[in-house]
Amino acid sequence: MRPIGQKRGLAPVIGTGALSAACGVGLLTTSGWLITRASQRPPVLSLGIAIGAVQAFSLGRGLARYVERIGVHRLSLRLLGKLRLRLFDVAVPLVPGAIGGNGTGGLLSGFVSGTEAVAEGYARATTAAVDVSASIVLGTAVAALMSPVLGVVLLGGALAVVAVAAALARWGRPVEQRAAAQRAELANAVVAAVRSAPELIAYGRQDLVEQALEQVRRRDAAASARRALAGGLARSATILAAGGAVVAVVGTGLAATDAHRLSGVMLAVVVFAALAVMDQCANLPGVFAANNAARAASARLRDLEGLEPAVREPERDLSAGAGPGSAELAGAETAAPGGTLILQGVSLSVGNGERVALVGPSGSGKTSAVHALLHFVACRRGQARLGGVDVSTMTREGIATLAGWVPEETHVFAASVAGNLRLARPSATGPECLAALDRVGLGPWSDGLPGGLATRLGAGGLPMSAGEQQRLGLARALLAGPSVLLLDEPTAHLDRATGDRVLQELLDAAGERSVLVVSHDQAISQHVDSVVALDGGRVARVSPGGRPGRSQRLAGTVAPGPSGC
Amino acid sequence: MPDATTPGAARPSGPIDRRLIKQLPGLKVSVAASVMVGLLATAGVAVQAVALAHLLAGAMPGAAAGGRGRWMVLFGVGVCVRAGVALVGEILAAASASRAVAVLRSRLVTAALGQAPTGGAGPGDDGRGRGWGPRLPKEPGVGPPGGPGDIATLAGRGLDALDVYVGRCLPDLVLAVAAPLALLLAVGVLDWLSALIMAVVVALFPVFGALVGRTTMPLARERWRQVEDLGRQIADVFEGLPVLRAFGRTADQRARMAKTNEALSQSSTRVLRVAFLSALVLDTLGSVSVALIAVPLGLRLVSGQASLPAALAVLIVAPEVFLPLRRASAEFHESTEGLAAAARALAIIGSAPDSQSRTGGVPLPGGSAAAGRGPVTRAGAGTRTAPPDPRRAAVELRSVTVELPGRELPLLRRASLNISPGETVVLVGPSGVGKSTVISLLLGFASPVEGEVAVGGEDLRRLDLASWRRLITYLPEHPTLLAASLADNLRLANPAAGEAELLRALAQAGAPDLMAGMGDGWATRLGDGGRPVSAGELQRIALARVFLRPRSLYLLDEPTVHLDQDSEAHVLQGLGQALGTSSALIVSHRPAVLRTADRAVTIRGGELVDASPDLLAAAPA
Repeated sequence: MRPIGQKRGLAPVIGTGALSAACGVGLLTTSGWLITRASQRPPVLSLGIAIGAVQAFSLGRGLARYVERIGVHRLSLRLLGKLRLRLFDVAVPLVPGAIGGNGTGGLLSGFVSGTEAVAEGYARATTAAVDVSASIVLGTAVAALMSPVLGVVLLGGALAVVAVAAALARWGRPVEQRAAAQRAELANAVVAAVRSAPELIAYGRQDLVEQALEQVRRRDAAASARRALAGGLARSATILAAGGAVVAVVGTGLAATDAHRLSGVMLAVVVFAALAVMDQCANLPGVFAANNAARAASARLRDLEGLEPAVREPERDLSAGAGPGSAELAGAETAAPGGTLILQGVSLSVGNGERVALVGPSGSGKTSAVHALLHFVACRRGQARLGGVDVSTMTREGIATLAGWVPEETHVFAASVAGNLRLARPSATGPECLAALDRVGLGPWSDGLPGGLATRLGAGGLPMSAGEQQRLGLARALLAGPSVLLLDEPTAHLDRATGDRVLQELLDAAGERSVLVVSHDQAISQHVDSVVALDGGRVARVSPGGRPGRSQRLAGTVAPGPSGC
Repeated sequence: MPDATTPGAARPSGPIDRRLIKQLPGLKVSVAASVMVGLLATAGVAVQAVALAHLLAGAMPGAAAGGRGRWMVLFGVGVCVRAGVALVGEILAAASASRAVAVLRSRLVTAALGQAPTGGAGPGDDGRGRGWGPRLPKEPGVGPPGGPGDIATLAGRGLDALDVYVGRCLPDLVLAVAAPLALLLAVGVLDWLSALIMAVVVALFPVFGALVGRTTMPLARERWRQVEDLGRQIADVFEGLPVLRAFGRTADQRARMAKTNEALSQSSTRVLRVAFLSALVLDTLGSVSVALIAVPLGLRLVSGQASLPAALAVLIVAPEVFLPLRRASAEFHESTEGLAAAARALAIIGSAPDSQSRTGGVPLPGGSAAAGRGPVTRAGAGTRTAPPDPRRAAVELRSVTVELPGRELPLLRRASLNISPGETVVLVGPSGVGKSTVISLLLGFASPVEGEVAVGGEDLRRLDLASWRRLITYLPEHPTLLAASLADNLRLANPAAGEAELLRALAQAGAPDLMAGMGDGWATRLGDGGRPVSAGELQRIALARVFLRPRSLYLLDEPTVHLDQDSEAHVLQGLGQALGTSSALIVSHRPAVLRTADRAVTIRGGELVDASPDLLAAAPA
């Protein structure tokens, strides 16, 4: 992910940046000339132009810099916008199939802040590059006008300072990266220590919490000392190099005045030009450090870009041919991003109006089966079908009209209640939204909303319990009007009694829709027509469920065993 | 603590956060050290300027050419001082920041541990608070663990962001005043008229700053808010990406994001123009001061009223006067995130019972501990009496009321419960109703705003909590693992247990083969960075801890969750034996657990009511 393509708007930034640098060099050189020339007591009138120039430069410098800053910030904002969209494009095909299961949000938030680091690093690097190079060019030009040799010395000195700052920044980069990684690790250690605290206190072992914190403190102090050493060395070496460059200019200049090749006044002009250049170079270590951070973030974004999407989505949608209400896996085989097999030839079928439970220990492939049906992961062998049509021939929109998904931890967006629901069907009216909420048992909850359907939820909004979130997720899924519901551990975060009740209500709300419900709890069987038990990516057992009045009619519609492979 | 609940107030009003300095007594010393180092750098600048001025003046026709070597050396000294100071300053800043963050972190954790995990913030009461709930005084949008409202996250990454403020910004804020003063003094020695002009310009800055600030601040703040809002929206969108994708709504969302970006960059030019005005003032004053000094100096040189070396030296240092101020203002912008985290941490520290007990000793029921914050952990442990043994004394909740900030009705309202010696009580009820809060109350993690928790008739607040907890075996709803070996994880409950005992405890917990199945046996590392364990394994390890710790009162939160029916029966049988004459309060819904109970209670309308007849009857024998 390269922060390029910022040509539009760059020219004015370079122009104003160069102007501000020119004013900076001009201000110092003309003041230097003014003072040294004045000491020779010329007629005051002969200083008039210099006096005017000093004043003009002093005002022009601030103004030019102001315009430059605005330009750079606009560029960096535009870059940030582009990077965000690009991250969005990169991330969409990756979730939830290719990265993370349920913790995707946390993972991506790191990338989101990464885009900010890249944009900020870009702004700082651009400003510095313009300012430093313009000062070097102009300072060298002024010096060369006075004496070509001094021009060469100043140019050489300035380039040496840039080289030293760059080399030390490069040398410090791994130190910086290690320190950042360690810091993240230590932050996790703090989180773990704090989370375990109540249990440890109950066991009378709060000393373990204190110990853990003390260890973090010591390791953090060591890590930040190493980082400070690297950063401090870079700054100090840059100061030494800049000092050396000034000494070289002064030394060469003094030799030239001794040889009467240069007047004392002109020497002062050259030295002040050198000071103006070095003044800009002093910012280099900070700029390189920001650039390092931006590069690291940008490398991580590139890694993400390099990830293979879990599925290829077709251009044309063939979902129109799908019949109502069925979902099948036929000998489905799927693999994790690393290549490890997850589903190893799973066949199962949910007939129209049927309810099937998918049970099994964690890691047995339950969630992957659901993801295969939603075409979040591709089947390497076999097929996943909705309404009899292969899901790999459907677009996202097509799949969404057939299957409603309620993940284990559904996301409630920081938006209004209505906004959260209309995600599923933008045309849904207020009464339809309320009806959907009522259907999932959120009727009383929605009556109590302080702002009705406009009440804000999610981060910064009304807090919701896990049960309420799950129900909202289902209301959303129902609103889209799908004929198959895929419920992934809908009650995993609820206690048993609440879970039972919520599940019953969810299933009641599902009505005559076909349902595939994933659970780790065998007790689910009383709610369904049949139970498919997965183990190690294979169907271990298919047994009839205890759903009253249904089991007999529907017995036998479940494909037996792993027949597909 | 309105501070912590309104996000706007989470930022300090001035650039120097006094509460922070009060909490960190060592901070003054380290800031002073950094300021001294900074002043040394200023001295280096002055020395360099004087040396350079003399070198240049010496090159003028008619000047005495002597002493050139001396001035060259002096210039070199100035450069070396600045270089050395840059290195030392960096190290000082890092050390001071690291120390400050560590102190604040440990205060925060201590304060948070003392603070009641009340109500819905109790261990897992809303089903989401895995492990532990003491969150912020219920801020709107306090999310799941790992979210920004979570104390553990605040203590970890949150406080880490404070380092720029403590290490750099604070010293530079002091230097922004001290360094110009020092330079003014130096200039005054060389040329008092220039010093006077400089002083006027320096004095003008706050005036201009205030004038500009008054008009730009609201806009700058507004812009900051916009940018923050957008950042939050974007993070939210990314978090919900799988849901968007499943509903086929990613294209809409992308279009909306592009539009927002466009709108922001359209509006931004106007806002940036105003927001950067203060930087313009600072820059312009800086360069105008050079002109203001150079021109009179030149005119006075013509009339012979000033000396050339002094004039050159003054001209060279003039641009340095505003440098620390410029740095401080940039660093202050970088510090926003860390300062917000610090403000939240300070709000929690400030409300901790420790600071209350210093003034008033034991907070009385219904007293200052408004939100049900408790007199917990170690405050005043020495002055309290030893608790009676629950095997012989009843453990009671006497009309306790526990309020949950941000909730209209109290979580528990005059709820009473009596666990007689040797009795096993099972607590049932839907999630979020306050079951885990009852356990928190009995452990002394929470205390009621009204009523009392009593042991043998003694108010728990008057008892020594450490001794009280020594009488208890606690199984939390979401047990945690230490980053340590399997054996150490088990010995947490009983440090003296031998390997045979550990093995027996695992067997009682229904996991006789757990140790053998782990790569390195007892030494297998678990927890963060160690071998991952399944929910079932974790539950068995937690149960083994219970079996390793025979005590007088058992507080068990969903002990048989994640177990199959056979293991559950096995565990319950062992538990029955282990309980013996001890008392127990077990939160559970499993019929098998209910059958082991002497009676069952539930929470209805905030009150603890007897549920025995219907529930025990409903549990199939």
